[in-house]
Amino acid sequence: MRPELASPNVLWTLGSILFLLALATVSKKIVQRINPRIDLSLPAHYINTWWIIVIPLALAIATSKGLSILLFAFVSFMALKEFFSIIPIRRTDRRVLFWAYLTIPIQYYWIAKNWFEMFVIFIPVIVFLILPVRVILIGNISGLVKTTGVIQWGLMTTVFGISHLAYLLVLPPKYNPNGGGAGFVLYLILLNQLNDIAHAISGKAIGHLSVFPNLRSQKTYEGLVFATSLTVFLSLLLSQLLTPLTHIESVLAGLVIGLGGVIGDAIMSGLKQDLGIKQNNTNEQMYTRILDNMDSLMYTAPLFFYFLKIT
Amino acid sequence: MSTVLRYLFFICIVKPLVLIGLGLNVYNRQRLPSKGPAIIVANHNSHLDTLVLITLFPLKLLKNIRPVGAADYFLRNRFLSWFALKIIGIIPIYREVCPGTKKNPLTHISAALERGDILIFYPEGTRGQPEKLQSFKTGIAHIAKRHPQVPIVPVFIHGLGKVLPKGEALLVPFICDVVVGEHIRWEGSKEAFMNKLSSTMKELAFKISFPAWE
Repeated sequence: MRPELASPNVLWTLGSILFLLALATVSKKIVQRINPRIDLSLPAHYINTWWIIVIPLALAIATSKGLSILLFAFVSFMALKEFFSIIPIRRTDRRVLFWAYLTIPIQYYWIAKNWFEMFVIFIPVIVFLILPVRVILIGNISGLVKTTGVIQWGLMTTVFGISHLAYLLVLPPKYNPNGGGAGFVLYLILLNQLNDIAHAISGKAIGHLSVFPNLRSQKTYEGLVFATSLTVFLSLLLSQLLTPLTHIESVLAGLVIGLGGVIGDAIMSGLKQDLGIKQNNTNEQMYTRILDNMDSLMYTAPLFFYFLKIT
Repeated sequence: MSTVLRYLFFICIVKPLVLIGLGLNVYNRQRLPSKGPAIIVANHNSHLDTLVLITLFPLKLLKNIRPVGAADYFLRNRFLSWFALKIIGIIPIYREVCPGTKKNPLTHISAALERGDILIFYPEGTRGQPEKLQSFKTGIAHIAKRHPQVPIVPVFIHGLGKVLPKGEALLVPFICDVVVGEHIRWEGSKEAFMNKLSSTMKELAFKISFPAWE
């Protein structure tokens, strides 16, 4: 049985990532064995994150369209739950939040049905109009704007944003003879995550001038130049393998993904800073595990999606 | 038969619901007792509290875990009392002792501790207002005095009052916090013990920062 979503290029890419990850994991173990005093917490963090991203993704791509959609719906659910657990809410909003959770199966149903118009307008238009009605029906008016604003923001990022990955994944192969929908998704996730890593490394190593001085984020102009150029370069390489984009288009796509990722990351850091949540990766605070790792992807997924749509 | 159902209920329904549907953030898990006898003392906001606390323990301890529940509430009809006694495994306690009877309401609790069970006890006595800590009733002090060698483990739970508060049937998922405290024991007097218990609980609640819920 040939998997419905996987083209040879996608399988090769997935195979190489798995191989590189295994290599990274083994070499981390060896380095630790040789010199236990070297601090490997940053690479270890990224290696773990990559395993968590790649294994479900590989399973989804290798099995079926339905399972892939379910996987991303589940990711949306976990991300929305994290979001609702960190924002201040009012007691009377419980039912509104329940409705907000219900948008997840509906949004992913449009994807399963390939109903593009509903997929695009459901959360930004329909839910935007209906959710405040639920709040008004409950009757607690003081705080209405704040509640509806916060909930809509969460839905736009965690449900609408992430669902674009699922829509890309199940695109018919005619849009992308090189890799199919899975090719687009792999391309986007690879560039996005590598861009994040490039920022984390260069921000520490060469950065001085902070891009967002009021944020506790490590984004610097030097890091921005380095990471964005790296992402554009990788975009040129990977687009040949995974997408039908021309050279100019892949440079633009690299810029969209690189800069969009920075914005997404900065906005999520700002949100957490506003709510007084510490940004750390200790085992004890696992509140925002998915939000932390997908913050930039929630922005780049729709950006990249509509970029493809207009090119 | 009901033992099998109990395991099935916890493996197939409770664990997925608590760990995936909600999600737990456990602080100091290593302080949980690995064997009985012990008493888990927790604040009480939701029926889910008991399910969450049981989920914290490995399955092999399931047969030893006995939540203490009010008889007038959980034994009020046949189905509920079958479910409470056989599936959840509660020890019923009679909140209002009839003046005529000589029977000590804590007999079953003592028996369970002597068998080496891990009890779950809610000294607030009721779920009360969601996410508000109420004053503790002194029943726990009597148990501690009778069994001074049994470790008492205070556990503070936050979030389940948002998920499923008293009087609500609609479950809304949130990630919940569980903070496990250091063991405490009988302090020599009822007052000292109760003070120790409530101050420990307040310290545990202070350890986590949670978003406003007004």
